Amino acid sequence: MAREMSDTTIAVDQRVEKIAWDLTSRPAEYDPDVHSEAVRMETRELSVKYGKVVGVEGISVPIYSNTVTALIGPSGCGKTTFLRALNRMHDLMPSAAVTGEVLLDGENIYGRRVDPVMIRRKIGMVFQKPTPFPTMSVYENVVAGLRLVGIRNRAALDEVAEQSLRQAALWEEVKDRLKAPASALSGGQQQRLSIARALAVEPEVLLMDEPTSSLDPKATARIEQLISELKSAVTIVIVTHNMQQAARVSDFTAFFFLGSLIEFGTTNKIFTSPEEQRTEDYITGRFG
Amino acid sequence: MEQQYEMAKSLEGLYNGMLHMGSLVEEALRKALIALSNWDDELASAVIDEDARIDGRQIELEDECTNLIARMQPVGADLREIICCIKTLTDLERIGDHARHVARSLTKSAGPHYSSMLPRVRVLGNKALAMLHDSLTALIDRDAEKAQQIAYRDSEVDELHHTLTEDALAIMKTETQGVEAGQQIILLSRYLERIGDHVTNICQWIVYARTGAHVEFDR
Repeated sequence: MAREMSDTTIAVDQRVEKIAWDLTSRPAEYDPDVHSEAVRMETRELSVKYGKVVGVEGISVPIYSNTVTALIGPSGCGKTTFLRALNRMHDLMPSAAVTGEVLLDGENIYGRRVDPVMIRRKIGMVFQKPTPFPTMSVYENVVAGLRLVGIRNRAALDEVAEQSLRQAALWEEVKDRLKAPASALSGGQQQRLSIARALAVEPEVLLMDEPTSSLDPKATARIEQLISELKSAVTIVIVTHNMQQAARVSDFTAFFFLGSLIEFGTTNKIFTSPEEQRTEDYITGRFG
Repeated sequence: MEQQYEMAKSLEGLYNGMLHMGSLVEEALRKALIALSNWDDELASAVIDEDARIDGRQIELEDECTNLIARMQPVGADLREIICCIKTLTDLERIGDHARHVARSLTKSAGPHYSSMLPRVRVLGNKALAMLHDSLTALIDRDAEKAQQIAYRDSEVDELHHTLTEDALAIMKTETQGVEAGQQIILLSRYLERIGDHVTNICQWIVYARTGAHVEFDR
């Protein structure tokens, strides 16, 4: 009997080992209390007003390190306004008033002594439409940010250019025409060039405002793949109108409606059993 | 491209998880059969306790299926594989329940008729166990042909169950002391025969995942 038992156990053990299924390796659901050390950014009671018009009001949300957070909601819900507040883009609009706090690594980026240029270097942005400098070459586009901060060493610039273009999954396509004007690239390539330029200054966070809305499905798939690859290097916050895209690429989802944050949670939770009825109605297409 | 790659990776994880749960079920059944032959109370209790773990695994894996459907919007073969997974999880969980029932049926006082028929129950159980083992291999290999061959073996299990039930009934009719023994044997035989049916279901879902066709192997 003893022999029979041990044979059984070995047979099953080997099988389990063969499939290398490790329960501990499964990604755990994020719990803010447990993962507090992994918070890269955080907003506290963040509000943005344009004169008397409220853009967003009282938004408190954590942004976890090396994850993708998607901001979803119908047009005009405040998701882009919120995104732009994360790297002080509203500074450029005299009528916009920002209150509350945005913390990056625990420090308020709206603090008196904080230089907004430094903030935008740490928190990069990619826009809806590709924004290469059209008359500059592919190469010069990528290193533009570095030249601005005074880096002249050619070898260093070359290295960063190649690394950034590789990270943006564009290197193989442009390595033989680095001197060609950026405007000669396709729309999808131009968007990846914009991403490469943002990555060149080694940001901690990358904000993406509907980065695929002007691209065809193939170029969109390429960018989506890129987003999951970049996660190991940067923390990503993405605004998207495409709910399926949010479901596919993000780890966390924040649902905005009428300038308020209705619900924030893991993307699994938001897309399978959200807490709020309004979230459920939105993701199932009942409104918006 | 990206979605296909992510989907393939997720499905691989899902099927590995399912194989893990299947292995737990297989182990439970094997232990239940050994406990039965060896009158081993301790081993039987272990099988009963383990069932909660199997049920927990089912829920986890079903949640993974739900997440995958919600986030990846699978179609075609990907969708069929997830449906196969959800259905298979139910059958595996039911097989786990039957293993627990077998362990619960362990008795030391059912008399000589029980003891003499027990080896035949064990033969029946081993056939069901082998079917389960092979079906898990077919599942992970997505092997529809093998699944069909495994499902056909269920008729041997049914046949054994049929003769065992008839013999047990015959004893119950002739001897009063044989009633408890006969009842026990019929119950055990029934649990094990049902396992064969669940394995047949799993085989049908493997064929569905592979081909999209709904087949009935038990007719």
